[in-house]
Parts: sequence; C-alpha cells; structure tokens
Amino acid sequence: MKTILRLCLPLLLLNPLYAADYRIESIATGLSHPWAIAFLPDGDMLVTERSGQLRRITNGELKQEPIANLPEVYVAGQGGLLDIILDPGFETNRRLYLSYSSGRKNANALRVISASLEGNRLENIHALFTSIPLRDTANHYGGRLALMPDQTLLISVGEGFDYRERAQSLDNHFGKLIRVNKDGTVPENNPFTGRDDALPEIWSYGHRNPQGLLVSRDGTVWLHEHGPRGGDELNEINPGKNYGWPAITHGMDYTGAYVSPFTKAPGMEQPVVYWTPSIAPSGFYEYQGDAFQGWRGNLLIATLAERSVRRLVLDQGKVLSQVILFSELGQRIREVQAGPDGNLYLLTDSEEGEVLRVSPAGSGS
Amino acid sequence: MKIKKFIKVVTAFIAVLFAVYLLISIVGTQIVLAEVKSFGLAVSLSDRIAATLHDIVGLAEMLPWLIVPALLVAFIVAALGKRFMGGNRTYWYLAAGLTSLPAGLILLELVLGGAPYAAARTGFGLSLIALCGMAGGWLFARLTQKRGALN
Repeated sequence: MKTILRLCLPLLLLNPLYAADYRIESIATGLSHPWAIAFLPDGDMLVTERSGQLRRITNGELKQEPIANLPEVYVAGQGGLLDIILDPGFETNRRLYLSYSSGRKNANALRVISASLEGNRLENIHALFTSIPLRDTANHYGGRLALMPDQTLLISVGEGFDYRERAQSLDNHFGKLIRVNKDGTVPENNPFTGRDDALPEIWSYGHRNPQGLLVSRDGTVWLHEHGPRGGDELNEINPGKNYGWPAITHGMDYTGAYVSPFTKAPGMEQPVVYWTPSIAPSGFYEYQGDAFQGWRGNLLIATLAERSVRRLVLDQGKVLSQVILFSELGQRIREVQAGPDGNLYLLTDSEEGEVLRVSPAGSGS
Repeated sequence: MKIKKFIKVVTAFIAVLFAVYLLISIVGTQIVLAEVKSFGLAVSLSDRIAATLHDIVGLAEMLPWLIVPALLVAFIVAALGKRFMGGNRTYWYLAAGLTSLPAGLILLELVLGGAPYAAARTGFGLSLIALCGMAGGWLFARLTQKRGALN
C-alpha cells in the first residue's frame, strides 16, 4: 500500500488535485486584455486593460465609465496600460502607481507614474520613470511594479526584443530591474550609484522580459521572466547582479537557433528554477491569506502558454515542488492576486478577458 | 526537351536552397557567437563547431519558410526581367538573390512586429544575409546556364 501511495504521489502533485476543493466564479467580463488588479480599501477593484483603460469594479459590477484623466498610452503589440499598485498609505493619500508604454511607433518607452485617485479621476500625476533609450519595437516592456520594505519602488523593464544585447550593458534600461524612490529620485544606496559607466537607477541586469515581480514577506525580491523558446526563469534578485540574458540562457531562439550556446558563466546568476518548454509566466503573488491555509508562503505564478497558475512550494529559497492549478479553465492567465478576503483573483488574457474569483469550495463568498 | 529543362531548373533551385540555407545558418551562428564573445565569454573552436551544427539542424523549422518563397519570387522576377528587359542574365540573378532575403526579412518583421532572425537585426548582419542570397543567385545562374552560353 505504501508503495502504491509513493508511486501515486508525483501524479497527484502534478494534477489539478484541488479541483474539488475550490470554486471559480466570474466577477467581471468583457475586459480587453486585463493586465493587473488592485484592491481598494472600500472593496472596489481597479483593473488595468492593456488597451489603455483603467476600470473599476464595484460590488461585483464592472463600471462602464473608465477612470478619467489617464495619460496618453501607446497601445501596440505587447504595449499598453500595464501594472498598477497602491501606495501602502493609499487610504489617506490616495496614491497609486501605474506602468504603461508611452510614445509612438518609432520612439516609445516604458513609463511609470504616480497619481492620486480622486473619485473617478486621476489627479496630481507625476512621471517617476521613463526608460531610455527610446525604442521602435512594441514587445518586451516588462512593466511590473513592486514596493520594497524601505518604500523604494522596483520596476521591471524588458529588453525590447530587438535590443537583447543591451541587457548586458549598464548604460541603458533594456533588460533591467530599476529601483527608484517614490518621487522618482534615485536612492543613494543603489548598487551602481557613482559609476560613470552605469545608470544609477539600475538594481539588477541581464533580464529578458520580466513580467513577474514580487517582494515577499521576508523581503526577498523575486522576479520571473519570459524566456524565448524555453528558458523561462524564476530568479531571486540581489542588487548589482547579472542574470545573464542573452549571454547565457536555458532557452533557444524562436527560430530554433542558439541565443547562446552557454547556460552558465562566471559572474552570471543561475535561475532558482527554469521552465522548458515555456510556460510564459506573467503574474506573481505570494499567498498569505486565510482562505487556502495550506498555501501560505507559496508563490503563485500566472502563466499564459501553460494556461494555468503554478503554485510553488519553497523552502529556504529552493523550490520543493510545483503544482499546476486551474488548467481546467483552458485560459491564458495574466495575473494572480489574493484579495483582502483571502480568495484568489485571476485575470484571463483575451479580448474578452475576465476577472475570476477562486474561493474554497463550500465557503460563503 | 521542355521537361528536361524544367527538371534542370527545379534541381538547380533545390540545390541553391540547400546552399543558401547552409550559408545563412553558418553566417548567422557566427554573428550570434560574436555577440556572445562581446559579453566576455570565451568561445572555443569546439563550441563554435557544435553551435554551428546545432543551428543547421535547429533552423530547419523556420528558415525554409523564409528562403523558399523569397528566392522563388526573386528568381521568377529575374527570369522575367531578363526575358522582357534583356541584360546580363547572371546580373539579374545576382540582384535577385541579393535583395530577396532582406525583402523577405523586412516583410516578416512588419508582420511579426520584431526581427524574425536575430542575426539579421543589424545592418551588418542583414548585409551578410543579403550576400548569402547573392551567392545563391550566382549559383542558380551558373547551374541553369545553357551550355556554351555567355549569359
């Protein structure tokens, strides 16, 4: 009997075994490629649509009128309105942070602003960061935001697809993790501050298209990034480190040729885990809620290609196991977050995207 | 007689496809390895050979989709150009080969929204790929030349 159990355990771990343990319901539909979600203290939700609108959901109803006074967003390819996070003091200062692509076809950039939400309008808009140099592609913006415990802001910037080599040089923002203060100034203790050959706002480099960024409860900075054909990575980020792209990679070019024949090199960090074939990791969340108590401390990764959420069980920075969740939906999942109620909220990526709520089966929510 | 000529042209075209495929693949790998070297990594001869062989196999899924239509259209245009406008036959195929691959790559880039072949992202890389096409044009002109003809 024990032998049978041992043989079955890996199968159980790889299956959506919690299918009977949760309930999935649609909260809002008709969202155009929803990208990120934020939960307001009054119970409302704000959802970014890549097509350039910021939408509000009140009492489970998607308001038709988008939030007004957004800056002009350059919508093309993978670009548009991307991430949103609230300031920890939102309840009093109403501040939030948004990332989006700005500019035009031949000269665009990733931009991050702060603004205050006044009623259904953004006010007091300040540009905190604009990536340089400008680019003429509409791919690989990165665009995720996270606040560190010291209240500095991390911004992931993609390498712009055609500019991959520039992820290895420090005179530009392609393929970098950026750290700025909440007013856009550069913290003095950034790793490259004072170097003539480096932009001081760079926190780490050698990234491809990082669309998952997380500062976990213990302060660890996690970042996941899309690989090309295989080689999606989860990295634990340390300041000043080089994460290798495109000098080393576990993936291939889309053509089937090498991006690099090397998977490791001195002075370049290895991923904590990598995925080949690609799962296309997009959203990222550390679960600390009460609804799914067995998942506390697990990392949840939304995936586009695998059409799932990966639940990673960690121990001391190592991934012990991975569970594939919600693949029965068959949906590209852009983002996973927990709401204040502890339930999970998923954003599905399509022209008719949805906000889905996942709650424990039998719960009242 | 016409069938014989047709078979000769088709055989020559297939041979040119293989030759251009190999050239592009080899050149492309060397461009990518030069980039990798520029990051301070040492690329040994065995690394280079292994990577080149890897890419020759790896590109089989994608590269024919570029080469076959690009060269087919280009050589048809060259044949028609020679027929209706005259001029040196070899030059027509050289020009057709030279322009075919950059045109195909640019077209694909417009469709895909990004460079389809990493080695051809820079002007230098695109020029080398164009020269591979030109070599294909020259080879096709040679292989389909009438015996004793002077172009």
